[in-house]
Amino acid sequence: MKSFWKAFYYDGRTAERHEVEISLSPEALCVKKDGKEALWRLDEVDQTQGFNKGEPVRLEKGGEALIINDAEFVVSLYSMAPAHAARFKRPDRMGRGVLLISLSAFLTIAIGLGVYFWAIPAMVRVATANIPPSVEDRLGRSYVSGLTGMVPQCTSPEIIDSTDRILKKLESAVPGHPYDFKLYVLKNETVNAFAAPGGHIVLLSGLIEATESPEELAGVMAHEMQHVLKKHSTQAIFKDLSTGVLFSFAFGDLQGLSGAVRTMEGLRYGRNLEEEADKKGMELLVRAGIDPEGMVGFFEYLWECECKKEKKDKKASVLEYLSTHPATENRVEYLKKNLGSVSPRNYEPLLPGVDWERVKNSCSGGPPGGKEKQDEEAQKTDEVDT
Amino acid sequence: MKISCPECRHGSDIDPKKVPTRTVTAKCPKCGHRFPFSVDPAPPEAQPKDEAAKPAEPRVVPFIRPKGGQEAKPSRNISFHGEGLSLLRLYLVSNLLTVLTLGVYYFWGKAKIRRYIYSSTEFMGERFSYSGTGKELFTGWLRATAVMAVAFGVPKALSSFVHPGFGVLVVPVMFMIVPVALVGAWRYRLSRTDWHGARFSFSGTVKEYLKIHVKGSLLTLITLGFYSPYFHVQKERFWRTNTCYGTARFDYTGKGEDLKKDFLKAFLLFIPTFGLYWFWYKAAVTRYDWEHTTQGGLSFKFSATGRQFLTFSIGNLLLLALSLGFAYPWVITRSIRFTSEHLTVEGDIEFNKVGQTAQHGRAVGEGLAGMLDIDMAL
Repeated sequence: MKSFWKAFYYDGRTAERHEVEISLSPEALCVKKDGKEALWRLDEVDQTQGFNKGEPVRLEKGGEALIINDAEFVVSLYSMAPAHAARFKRPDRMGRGVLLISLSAFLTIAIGLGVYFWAIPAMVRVATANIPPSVEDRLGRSYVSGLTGMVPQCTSPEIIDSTDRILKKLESAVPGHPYDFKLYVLKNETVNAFAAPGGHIVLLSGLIEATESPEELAGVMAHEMQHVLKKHSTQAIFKDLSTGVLFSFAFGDLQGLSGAVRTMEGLRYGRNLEEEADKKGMELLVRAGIDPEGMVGFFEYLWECECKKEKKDKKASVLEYLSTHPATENRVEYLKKNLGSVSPRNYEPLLPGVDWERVKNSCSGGPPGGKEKQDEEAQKTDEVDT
Repeated sequence: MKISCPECRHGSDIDPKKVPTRTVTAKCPKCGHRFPFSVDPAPPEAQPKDEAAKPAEPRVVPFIRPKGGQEAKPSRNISFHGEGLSLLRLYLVSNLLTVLTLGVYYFWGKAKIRRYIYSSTEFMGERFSYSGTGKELFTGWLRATAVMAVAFGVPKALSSFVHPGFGVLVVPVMFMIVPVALVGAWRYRLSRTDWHGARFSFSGTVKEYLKIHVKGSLLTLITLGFYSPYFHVQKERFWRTNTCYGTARFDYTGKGEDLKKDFLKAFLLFIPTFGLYWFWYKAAVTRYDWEHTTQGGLSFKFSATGRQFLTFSIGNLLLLALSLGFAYPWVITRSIRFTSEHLTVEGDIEFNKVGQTAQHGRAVGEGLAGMLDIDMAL
């Protein structure tokens, strides 16, 4: 074992490098420079380099520094001054840490999966259960305002009046809920509807035009209202946000946190939630005294559209609805089965005396390239609009 | 005037008037070897007396010196000893601990990674050393968050409670924030960098940079980009001349006029080459910047060509794409190697004349730069 080491010394005042000789004792380091000796007490010395293979050891004390390009130095230090050994790292024991790499990679992935499949759903459940309706209302409004800012609202008084009447009727069947339902009818060909937290329901005119009776529309509205009442939309937003936060963490993208501009695309629900909304929606219809056949009929129509989409006999934009509301054959069958369990009774027409064919097209002036009859309707509604 | 190829020694005569004073890349007609060379811009009468006896022809300074050539100035490269695998370990452990500590460890991990990169970089047999800590980065981030909250929160509050017109106050803040972040980050990073017994430091101010930034951006916009070589040179001068190693300052003598032709060429060739000519322009500008940088007795040369820049960038892109980002540590080591292999430093430093400077600079700008996702190279 060596007792002297050659080292470089910097005094911290100039950049000049001095060659020195150092030796070790159990409590201190002796630095011999130009025949003079200086003691560096080991408990005052910090190692700042020499943690990796081939890297010289750098020791600092105040502004002074020593550089020892000899891996054996720390090995000797370990045996000479075991009391201070913990302050120093042996460079000869530096591996590349393949084990550490695989372990940390494995743990990172495991934690990521655990957070995604367990922690986030649990947090979302707790948050959803405890959120006050007023906060949900604000959340929903900010979502909807993003959409209403881009898409023009439908101004047809007939549509607004009819949809409001359907809403009132449905609302009367769920007394005591904490929400203040608001309807937004937007001028857009897409066949779709959304429910944002707090009772903000968006109906696109394309969907209204695709219905054949007010009962069919009521079915969709009841379904969307249940998304609100069961807080599905709140849950979806929370999940979307927290997953976004997780991903931005994982990829070190801190901007992702501030960029919380989300679209309605975030309002997707799983199959279970859709089925719950279907079932509860149908119950709501029956309680409100609205014929649930309409709801089943409309979903069946959407499903058929999906099957016959090559034929192009219905609008391709129906697909849009199916992308956010996964309609499977199961779902239609399931609804039909539910319908069977509801005791049949004679339902009164939902909107008596309303010419639904005319009202439903009063917003956009009929589907483009539709049948001649619809074109006539469109001309009529143009007159109404102007 | 004679130019000889450093590879095969083939020589040819060239009219010195045709050779520009900056560095150009020459192709040897015999062996096809490409080498940058430059003509000493100093006119003969300006040279010291003992050199006056030499022929009046400008001296040719080949960039890659012929083997065995007698050289007065030693020429050295920076060497990098870092390994991708070690860096990967640091990144993975740091990410893991960041997740476990809900993000707090991020700053300590960042300091550790920097420390590794600096410690693996060697010049003249001496490693660089980074003394910044995670705690500094963390408090810097906290301060930066407070600064951002005030800078954006106050105009927002005034505009929503007093008068909507106060919203325009955000505009100067937006203009300020990037220079504050850039200057602050550079100052902090240099003040934590130590090499050969002395610390680096930065003396440039935000105000100074803001002037260059605002004036340069506006003029570049008005002149449809033709001001950009001048803007570039002003920025480089700001960054380089304000950088000090100990008490010794870096110097930069670049002029916008010299880059004018390169810019015009790049402007004309940008679309016909589908933007690829940008790499050649970047290479030319980087070479120019280093050739006009000095520090005491040191001068610099950068040898990368546009083709090398292009293959380097494509390599990085492929590495990242094929590994789904996991090869990021290798992209870093490649980048540092690319610079260190092409950057040659000539001359010597009189270390006993370089004094130490006081350590200053807080990590606020660093925190802002982190938020804005601005990263500055070593």
